[in-house]
Amino acid sequence: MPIMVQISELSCSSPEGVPLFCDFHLQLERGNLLCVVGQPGTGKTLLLSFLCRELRPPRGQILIDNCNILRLSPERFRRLRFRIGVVPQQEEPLLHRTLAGNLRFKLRALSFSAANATQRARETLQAVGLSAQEDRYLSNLSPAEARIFQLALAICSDPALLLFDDPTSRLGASESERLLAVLRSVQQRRRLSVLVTSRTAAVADALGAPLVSLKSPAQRPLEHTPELPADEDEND
Amino acid sequence: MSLKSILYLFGQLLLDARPRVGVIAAIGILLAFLWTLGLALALLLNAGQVEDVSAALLMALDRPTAQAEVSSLMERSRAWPEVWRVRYVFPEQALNADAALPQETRANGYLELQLLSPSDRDAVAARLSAQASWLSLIPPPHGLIRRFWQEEPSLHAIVLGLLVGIFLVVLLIFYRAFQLLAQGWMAEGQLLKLAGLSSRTLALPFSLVGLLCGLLATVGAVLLARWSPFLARRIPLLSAWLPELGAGRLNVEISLEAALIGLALSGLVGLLAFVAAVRAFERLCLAGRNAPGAPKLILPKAQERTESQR
Repeated sequence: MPIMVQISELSCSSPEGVPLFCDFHLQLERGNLLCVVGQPGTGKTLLLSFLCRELRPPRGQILIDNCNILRLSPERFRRLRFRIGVVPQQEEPLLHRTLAGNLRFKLRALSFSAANATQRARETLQAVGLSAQEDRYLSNLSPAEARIFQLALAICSDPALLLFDDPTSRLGASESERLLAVLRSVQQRRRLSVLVTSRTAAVADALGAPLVSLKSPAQRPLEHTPELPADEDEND
Repeated sequence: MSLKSILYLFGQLLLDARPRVGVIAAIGILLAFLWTLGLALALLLNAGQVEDVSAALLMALDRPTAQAEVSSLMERSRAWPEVWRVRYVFPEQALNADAALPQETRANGYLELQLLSPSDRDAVAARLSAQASWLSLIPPPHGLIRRFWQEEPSLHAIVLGLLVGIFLVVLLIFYRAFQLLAQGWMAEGQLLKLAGLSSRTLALPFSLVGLLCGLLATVGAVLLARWSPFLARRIPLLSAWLPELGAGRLNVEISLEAALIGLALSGLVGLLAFVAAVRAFERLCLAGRNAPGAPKLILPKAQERTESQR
């Protein structure tokens, strides 16, 4: 199975000198899900920042779709970056626009034509189950629906890779279940490669995804354990 | 990002701008237009010697004339639309007048009429001669002269100081307006940065806004320069100080000069908008605009070497 994301020998420390990653390895196969689990402060968002090249790690290699993103020219990375969808932990979509308006705004900014943007917006909202709310504003949505809409924003431009930071934060149990069901459905239908970060292994269980665990203060070299949840392994 | 998408975002930016930003930008545009016109005038009117196109009409009295006759003529001429001011220079005053005036003016004095436009000289002179045969036209001086402001270094310093001061104020006002514009577009900026657009790309529509502000100021300055003869006729003081404007001789040069200065200013304002937007959007990151856990910069490799030595 071709590899979508491969991280090798990633090492870095916080400004206070606390090691966050120490020879960290990670591999996500194309069309699959992977869940990165860790407590707050263990570097989950930081890992996504590296993948988006918002920050550069002092040591390590990061390959996305067989391209070493740390060595790509800005122009080539920009083309690759458009194929990565990102759902951050905190985001405030445009409150003065409707759901469809938000999607059209993003798609038009990415050089889609007006007609194409409208059609894609409709299809995306249909894919995530929000087509009935396309003319509503974000303030009228429940927390789960708002998070599902953020997922729609990320996938509307048909990315090859989706990075989802802590999808179930600030959601209750039933809302989390609904969100993860939509995510699983979208991933399967579109054969998306998805990297999800989470504070608990329950997300990995719900998604049926293999799990990679981050620990603080120092990271041990990790083994990819698709069969067992990492928590059970590390509690031994 | 294509030109089409930049223009789309430019349109959205204008639609989303808050009224407060519009007011500040309007003040900036007004000041910029005044500054552009002022600089164009200062450069042109300080350029060496200029042809004397005085709007003053001097009519010498050929004989001693009764005061009543002179007063009556002055009253009538004040009512003429071309005349701004009339005064009679007595023979004693004429003795101390400009040495270029002919000798005969000093014996009987002369009438000095300030006109709204130099082009009205001939018509008013003919009308006066028809009504009072004892008047004769004193030929206007020809040649090149220097204006009084060209001889005063202190005036230069004041004008230069004013122009520099207004220029800095214009830049500050525009920078503040673009800062507010960018701050009001943070949600849009965050959304588009997550989509993969860089801060510099996001700042391009702001450059267009800056260019637009500069161009509006330029158009205003050029239009006012083109209308200056019309305005000079309506504003006597302007015509008296700058008779070239009333004669329509300088308005083309001023328009061109103002257009060039305005275009340069537009480019500068566009660059200013770009810088303001890049600075505003650069702090947006994956963790969100105000997230407490926003990733900090990673230590450089020197820190790693230190740790490996421990």
